[in-house]
Amino acid sequence: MRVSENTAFSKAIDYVQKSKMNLEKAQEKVGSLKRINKPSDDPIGMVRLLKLRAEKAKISDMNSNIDSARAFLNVSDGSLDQATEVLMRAKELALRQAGDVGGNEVTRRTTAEEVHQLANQMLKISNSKLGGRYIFSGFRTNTPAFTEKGTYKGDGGEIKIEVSDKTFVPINLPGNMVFKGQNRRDGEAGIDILGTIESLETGLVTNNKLLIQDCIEKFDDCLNQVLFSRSIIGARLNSLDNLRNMHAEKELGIDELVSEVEDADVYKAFSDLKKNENVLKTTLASSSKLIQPSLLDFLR
Amino acid sequence: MSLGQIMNTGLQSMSNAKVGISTTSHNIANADTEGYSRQKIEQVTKRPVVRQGVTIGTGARIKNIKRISDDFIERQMREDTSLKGTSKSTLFGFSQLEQIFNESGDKSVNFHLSKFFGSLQRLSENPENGAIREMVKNSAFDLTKAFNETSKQIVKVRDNVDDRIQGLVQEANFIAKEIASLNGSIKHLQSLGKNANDLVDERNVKVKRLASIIDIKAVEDESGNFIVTVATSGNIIDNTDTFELMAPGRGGSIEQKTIHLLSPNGGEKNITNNMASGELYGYLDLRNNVLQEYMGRANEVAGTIITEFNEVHNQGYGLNGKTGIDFFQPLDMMRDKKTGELYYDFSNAAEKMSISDDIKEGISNIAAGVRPSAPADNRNILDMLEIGEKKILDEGASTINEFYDAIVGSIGLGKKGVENNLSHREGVLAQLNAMRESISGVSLDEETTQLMKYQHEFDAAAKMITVADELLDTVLALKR
Repeated sequence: MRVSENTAFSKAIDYVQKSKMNLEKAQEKVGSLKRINKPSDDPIGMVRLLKLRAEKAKISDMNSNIDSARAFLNVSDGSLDQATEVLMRAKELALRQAGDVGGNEVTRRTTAEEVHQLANQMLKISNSKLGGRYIFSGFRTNTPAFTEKGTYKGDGGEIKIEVSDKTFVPINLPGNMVFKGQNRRDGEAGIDILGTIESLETGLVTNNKLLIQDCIEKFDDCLNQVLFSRSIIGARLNSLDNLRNMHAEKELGIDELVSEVEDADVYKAFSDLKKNENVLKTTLASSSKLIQPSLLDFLR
Repeated sequence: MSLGQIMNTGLQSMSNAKVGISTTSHNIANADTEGYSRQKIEQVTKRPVVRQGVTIGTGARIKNIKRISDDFIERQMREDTSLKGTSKSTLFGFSQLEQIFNESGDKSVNFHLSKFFGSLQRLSENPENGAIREMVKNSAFDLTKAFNETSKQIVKVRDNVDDRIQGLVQEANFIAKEIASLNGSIKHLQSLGKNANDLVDERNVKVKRLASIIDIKAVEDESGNFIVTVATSGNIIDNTDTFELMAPGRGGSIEQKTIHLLSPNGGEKNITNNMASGELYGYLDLRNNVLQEYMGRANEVAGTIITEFNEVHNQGYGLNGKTGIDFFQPLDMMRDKKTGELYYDFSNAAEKMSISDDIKEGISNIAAGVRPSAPADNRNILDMLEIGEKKILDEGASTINEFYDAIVGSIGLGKKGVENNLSHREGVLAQLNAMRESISGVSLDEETTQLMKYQHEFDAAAKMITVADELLDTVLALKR
């Protein structure tokens, strides 16, 4: 085969060009430490990557939802803790004033003052707010849950939010269930907490021992009802914790997969770079050898 | 055989060597000229004379200066140049598309889609919160802008491609005229019995450039007429006549771009669908099919988001108690001509996508609840969020995200395929070029050797004349 000058030169240029291109690719990998820098680098991998990224974004959305759910539920739980204390105090007062040993008309009248305060306190608790939202009003968070007369003004709605893929958790407890005992999900007959405190007050004011004694038993039911609500909250918080942990694990798994798909193998990337550098050097050296000699060099 | 005859032979021989040297120097000078084929003198013995019954040679003469080339390789190179042209223009398109649908940047649709759904998640926790409602509105606005931008970019690429098509058509017409004029000169020279080697080389270079633009077949008939057919449809060059290519109209939104060839009888022929390769073909395919397809897919996603969200949003109530509100500006309705059914016109959905005036004017119009006067009612938001999970595209096979990701993947695959194709074509062409060079290319070593050979020949022929001269002297001295 004849080898013309052009063949030699264009081959040399070709080789140099090729190894420069490879070197550039290796450099891009080392520079970004990523195997996929644009879709055409690995189309299938890119699609997987997009899916993984979307999953990760969803998890972070879900975690933020879990945080707000926890805040809402914790505030509810705090309120119910206070409600328990109020009820305990009311029961204690009722016990003391129910018989003739500790109570008489005068003590009952003064105790009625305190119970009135307790009733006010309970009303305040039932109208608890978080960030300007009445937490026991269902969907009507802009309206206090109860009027001063103890009428429920909320709508009993449950605000559900997504806390994990297609898993929804209500973040509130409707006030009519907690404080009025309506629509209890365990099927038990509920009790009107606000009304019970009020009737104790009436009993004390009217010096009606029977009514006061009746209240003692009712307070037990009230305490049970609050406990029931708190157990619901506890269960939800618990499952939120579990989901949170699950998400953390899942996130780790996704990170690992992302890195597997996207990241360049550092050792390989660097050794490729070195290799390509050497190839380029060798190509340059051999090209100069290929181009140099000519018959003219040997003629005088 | 006279001494004069010997002197003549020597003289002829010297002149032959001179022609050899000039050919060699022509070769050396053109070693780097594109498309140059090395030339070689064809030397033959002169007719001998018969003296006293003996046949005596009378030296050599130069019959011709020949161009060393292989037409088969030349033809093969034309075809592959055409195919490489296709890949080159297709690659241009896919590189642009890859940038438009680039998913790493924060301008991408995917990024804004996930932001939008994220903001709806936020709102589901706290539907009465004005700041979060504002955030939903803004992220929806950004999403519409991202779609608008995608559509605008594709249109921009299309305009760019249109310009390139016009440019290539002009270039093809120009080259055709140059080739036709070369045809005239070559035929004229050949009719005078002269060689037109350099002009033929020049013509080959031009034909190759024309082949890179559009697929052609070039043939030379017995009478030396050079004819070039384009896209197996008709002649673009018939010896010294040319027929123009035309690409009517620029821009337009949907209409397909076509290429026409003027015919000898004055009419014109649409050759768009007969084209099979070349840069022009690549750009046409890009414009009429590839860009149209991805624009269609972007419209599909945008249109689906608009109609699905509006349907859900219409059913809910805003903070102000209003219902029946569109979230996005609704698309135009069209009536199916056959069935008479009404449907939404998706054809410019990505370009037109925007949030509705109601949402623009008041964030309290965002319908979060399914009941009025229940500010924390988030159930309509949950329904909107569910749109992201439903397989509503691709005839029920993909979610919005999956459908969009598939676009990105398909562009990546497309580009990778074209890249491979291009590098394959380049490899083939390099191979062919090496073959061509090995036949037609100039080797300086070879030419140097030739140069020395002709120099020695010249020296020897001169010596011959000196010898003949001395002989003549001797003969003349006999008289004294």
